[in-house]
Amino acid sequence: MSRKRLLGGALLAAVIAFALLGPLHGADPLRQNLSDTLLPPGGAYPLGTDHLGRDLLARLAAGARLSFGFALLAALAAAVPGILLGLVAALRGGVLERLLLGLADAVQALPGLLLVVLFTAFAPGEFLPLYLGLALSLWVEFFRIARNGAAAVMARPQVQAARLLGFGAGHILRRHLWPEVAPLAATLFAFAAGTAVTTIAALAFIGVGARPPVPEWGSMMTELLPYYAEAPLALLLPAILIFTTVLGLHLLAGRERA
Amino acid sequence: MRGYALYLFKRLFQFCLVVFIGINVTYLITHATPIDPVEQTITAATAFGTTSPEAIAMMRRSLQDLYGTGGSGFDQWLAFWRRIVVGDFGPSLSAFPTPVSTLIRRALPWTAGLMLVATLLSWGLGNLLGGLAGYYRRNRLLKFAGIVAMGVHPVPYYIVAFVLLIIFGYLWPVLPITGAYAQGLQPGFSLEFAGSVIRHSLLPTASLVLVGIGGWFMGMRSLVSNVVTEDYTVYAELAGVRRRRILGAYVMRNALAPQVTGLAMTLGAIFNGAIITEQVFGYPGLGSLLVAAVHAGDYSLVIGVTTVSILAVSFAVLLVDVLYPLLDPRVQAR
Repeated sequence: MSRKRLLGGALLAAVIAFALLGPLHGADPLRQNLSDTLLPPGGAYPLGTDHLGRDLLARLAAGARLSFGFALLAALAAAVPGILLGLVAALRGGVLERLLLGLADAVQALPGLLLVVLFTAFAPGEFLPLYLGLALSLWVEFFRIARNGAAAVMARPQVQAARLLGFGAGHILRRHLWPEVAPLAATLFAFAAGTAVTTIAALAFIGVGARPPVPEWGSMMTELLPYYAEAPLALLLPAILIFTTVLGLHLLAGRERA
Repeated sequence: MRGYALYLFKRLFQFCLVVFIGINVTYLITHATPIDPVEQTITAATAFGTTSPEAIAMMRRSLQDLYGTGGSGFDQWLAFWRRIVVGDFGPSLSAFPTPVSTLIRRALPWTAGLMLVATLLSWGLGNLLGGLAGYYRRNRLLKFAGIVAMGVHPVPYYIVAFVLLIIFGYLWPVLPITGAYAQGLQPGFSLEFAGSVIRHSLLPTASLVLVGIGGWFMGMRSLVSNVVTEDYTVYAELAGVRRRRILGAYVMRNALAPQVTGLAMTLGAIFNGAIITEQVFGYPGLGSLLVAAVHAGDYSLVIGVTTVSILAVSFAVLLVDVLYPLLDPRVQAR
């Protein structure tokens, strides 16, 4: 465990602790109080209030839970099919592999954000299309990494020996391919989760992601932008949280992007 | 030379395949939406007053013809491709009856100009600074640049954009924050217009470069620090080749090759950037057009913008791949 990774883990742990401990404060993230708008931190509102008098601590913590849940699910939805297809492509080879590689190239030519935006056209403001769109654009990288890693392993003498000895695909997958692919996939998973966190905030910003009053970091920033002069902290806090989360994930991932 | 021709042919085939699959994926996604452009247009046209049922039936037939939605699924798909090939995306639903191709032609130059300049600028600057930082590793200033690059890199784009917007748009309002040129100016080849375009592009370009430069910087720095320890570099140093020549001809040139591949990959993501940038700075390009189209459920416009972006991206990647063997003669054109 390098120092960088420890730092990344600590940053993430801090945000997670914030997400979990936030509700202890007991405020409702949706409850408005129009006589207490844009208050600075202090008193009944540890981090102040937004332009509708909603408790910022509660909203930020709820946003953290939402972002983490979303990032985890979206990264999983991309990783599982991507890795499986990559391993199958390396194991089977032939036409299937070429077909999948062609598909991956084609999907990569479609800009990722564009795919997500396309999917949101189905059901604006709902989360399912966001998952579908992100998974569809992110699976390619998992697929590439799994296939390239596995293909390199398949060419090694010990694997060829194992195949000649009659070991099945399951055995080769478990004993030879998975140990090689797993660390690469884990790194990519952290990057993918980071992409998901920034994407959901970006989508809220262009108006196709989470919609007000959902407490989401990106939509909080968009809502608070007009009040940058009166309450700079309220605008800054979600930005800091997004930055900390993404930096934590990137540091945790360790190496440079593969 | 024959090898290169074969390579060219293979790459061209791959290009066509990728474009074909990409457009089909878009077609599938948009056609799975419950939005029916024909019924929408009819509703819009007949919202006021009474229209006779015969007239509506005729209107429906001509609209189906216009949008290419008559017949079975396969017929529709064939009709779609017959029109795509000649660049006809049908009329826009939200700006009926303006053809989609007109809307795209109006928006494309803005996006292409802004994004190409920003991408190439951050690529060039990032590689230059990264290369220097990798070569002169003791230099304090370059070390500091490295730390800044590390720190800015994970900042999501829109945060940087917001910060620039607040600083230069509100706190110290010296730059225009929205639009592509000053209102009331007649687009044309005048000095005034060109100046306005440049002034309006400063903030979006700066935000894109700030965010983009870090990745190139760090990539180039680590590449260069690998090349510096190679035998040929050490030999050149011992032989007394001038340092500037070593840096340029020995180190940079060898380290640059992977970065060129990286550039091709980034060109693929150019429209991701366009969508958010244009939204933040109210730039009248393809990204704004796409977001507006999605909001309006205008799927012929969505398909149009997507198709153009797929073509542009694939073509950029093709171009880099085709030129790559010329840049790095070690790569056997296969």
